[in-house]
Amino acid sequence: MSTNILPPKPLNLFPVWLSVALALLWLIIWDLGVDFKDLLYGIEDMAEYFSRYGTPNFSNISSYLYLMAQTLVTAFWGTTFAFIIAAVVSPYAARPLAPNAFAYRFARELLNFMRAMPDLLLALIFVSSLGLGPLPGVLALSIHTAGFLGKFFAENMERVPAGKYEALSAVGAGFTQKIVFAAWPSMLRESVGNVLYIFDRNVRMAAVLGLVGAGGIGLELHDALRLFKYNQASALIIIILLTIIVIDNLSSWLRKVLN
Amino acid sequence: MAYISLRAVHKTYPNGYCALKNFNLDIEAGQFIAVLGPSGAGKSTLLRAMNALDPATQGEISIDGVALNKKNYRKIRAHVGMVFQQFNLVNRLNVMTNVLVGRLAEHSWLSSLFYLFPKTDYQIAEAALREVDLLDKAWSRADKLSGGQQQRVGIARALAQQPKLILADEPIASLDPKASEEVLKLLRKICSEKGITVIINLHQVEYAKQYADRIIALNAGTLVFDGSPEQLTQARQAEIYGTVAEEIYHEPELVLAHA
Repeated sequence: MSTNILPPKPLNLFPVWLSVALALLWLIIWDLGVDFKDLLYGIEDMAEYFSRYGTPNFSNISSYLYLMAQTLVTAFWGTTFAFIIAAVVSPYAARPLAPNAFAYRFARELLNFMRAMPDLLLALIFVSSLGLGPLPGVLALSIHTAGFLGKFFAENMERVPAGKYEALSAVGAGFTQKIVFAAWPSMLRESVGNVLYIFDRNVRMAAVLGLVGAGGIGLELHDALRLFKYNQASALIIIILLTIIVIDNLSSWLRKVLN
Repeated sequence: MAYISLRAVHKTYPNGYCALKNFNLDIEAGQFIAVLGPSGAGKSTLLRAMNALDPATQGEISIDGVALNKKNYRKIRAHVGMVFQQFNLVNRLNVMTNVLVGRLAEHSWLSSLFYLFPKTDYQIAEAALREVDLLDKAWSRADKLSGGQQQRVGIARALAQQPKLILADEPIASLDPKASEEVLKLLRKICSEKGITVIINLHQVEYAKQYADRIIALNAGTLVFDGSPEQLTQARQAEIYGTVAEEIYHEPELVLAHA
C-alpha cells in the first residue's frame, strides 16, 4: 500500500556500536597495561638494532643465489604436486560433481586435514624421517597447500552455473567428461589466480622452511642471525625480498595476460 | 506401442513439492509437440523426467520401448538431445568443441581427458553446424555469439548426438522475437526433414498453435489439454491458464516475470 506520508526514518545504530567498540578497545588496552611511553622509548632501541643491518655483505653472493634458486625450486615442485593432488581430489569435494555423499564427505575431510597440518610441522616430521634437504620441504608444501588449492578448486567448480553440468549430463557424459568439458574451462581464470597465489605463498614459506632443515636460503639466514652476522643476514633478506617482489609482479602480469 | 510412453508418473521433489501427479502420456515418433501451461505447472519437470535429469519418483517412462532405470540413464541420454533456456554452452570453448560435446557419450573418459575426438566426430559436428547455419562461427568462442546464435549452437550440440528425440525446455524464453522465430523454424525443420521427435515447452500459445502438430497443456502437475492446435480454442486457453490468463498475457512485465 502506498501512502502520502513519509514513514519515520529508520533508526541508525551505527554511532552506538562504534562507541561500544571503542570503549571495549580502551578496556582491553587498560587491562593489558600497555604503556605508550614504553612503546615510544622502544622505537629508539629498535632503530639502533636495525642500524646493524645497514651494511649488507654480498661477498658470498653466488652461494646465496644458489640457495635462493633451491628455495624457488622447492616452492615450484611443492606447488606442482599440490596442484596435481588438488586437481584429482577437488571434483569429489564439489557438490555438483561428487558421485555420492560419501565421496563428497571423504574428499572434504581429506582437504580439511591437509589444510589443518601446518607446513612447518610437516617439514619437521619429514626432515626427521627423510633427512635434511629440499625433499622434505617439497613434501610439506605439497600436502599443506594441496588442502588449500583443493578447496579453492572445489569452490570454483561449485560456482559454475548448474546448467553447464546439466547440459553435459543430458548428452550422456560421465564424471571425467563433466570435469574436462564443463568444470575446467569454466573455472580456468579463477584457478590460475589461485595457483599463482599458492606459488607466491610457497616461495615465502620455502624460505622459512630452511629453518627446520628443509633446504634453501632459510637455513643460511637462520645461521647468520644466530652468529650475529648482521651484514650477511641483511644481504640474504634483501635477496629474498627482491625475489618475492619479482615473483609477485610476474604473477600479477601473468594473470593479466591470461584474462 | 507409442514411441514415448509415461505411465502413472509421479514426481515429488525432496522439499515435498509434487510437480507431476499420476501422469499418463503417449507420444508418437516424428511429431512436433508443444507443452503449454502456467509457470510451475510441471512443464520442465515433465521434460527433465524423460531424460532422467530429474528422475520420476514413481511410475514408468519408456522411450522407444526401453524403460528408464538408473542403469541405462547414460545410454538413453546419449540419443536424446536437450536444448535449454540458458543455452548452457561452455563459454570459454569454441563453437566446434561445444558441438562435439554431443559426441561425448560415445567415448571413454581417457580420450576426453585430452579433448580428443575422432575425425568422424568432426564430420558429424560440421554437418550439425551446417544444419543450423553457423559454419562460419565454428572457431569463435561460444560467448562471443548472440543469444539466438548460441541457442542454435545448443541445437547443433543436440543434433551431434544423432538423436531420435529433442527435448527443448523453453528454448526461446531468453530470446528476442526475431531469434525466437528462427529457433522455432529450425526445430520445426529438423522435425519435419529428419523425423526427429521434438517436445518443446513454450509460454506463447500463438507459437504453439503455429508450429506444433499436437499441443498438450499442464496445470498443477496434471494434463488439462491434449489435442491438435485447432482444438485449442480461446475458451480452452482460459481453462489452461485459469482466469488470470488474459491479464498475464496482456501485461508485458508479467510475461517477463514469468519467463
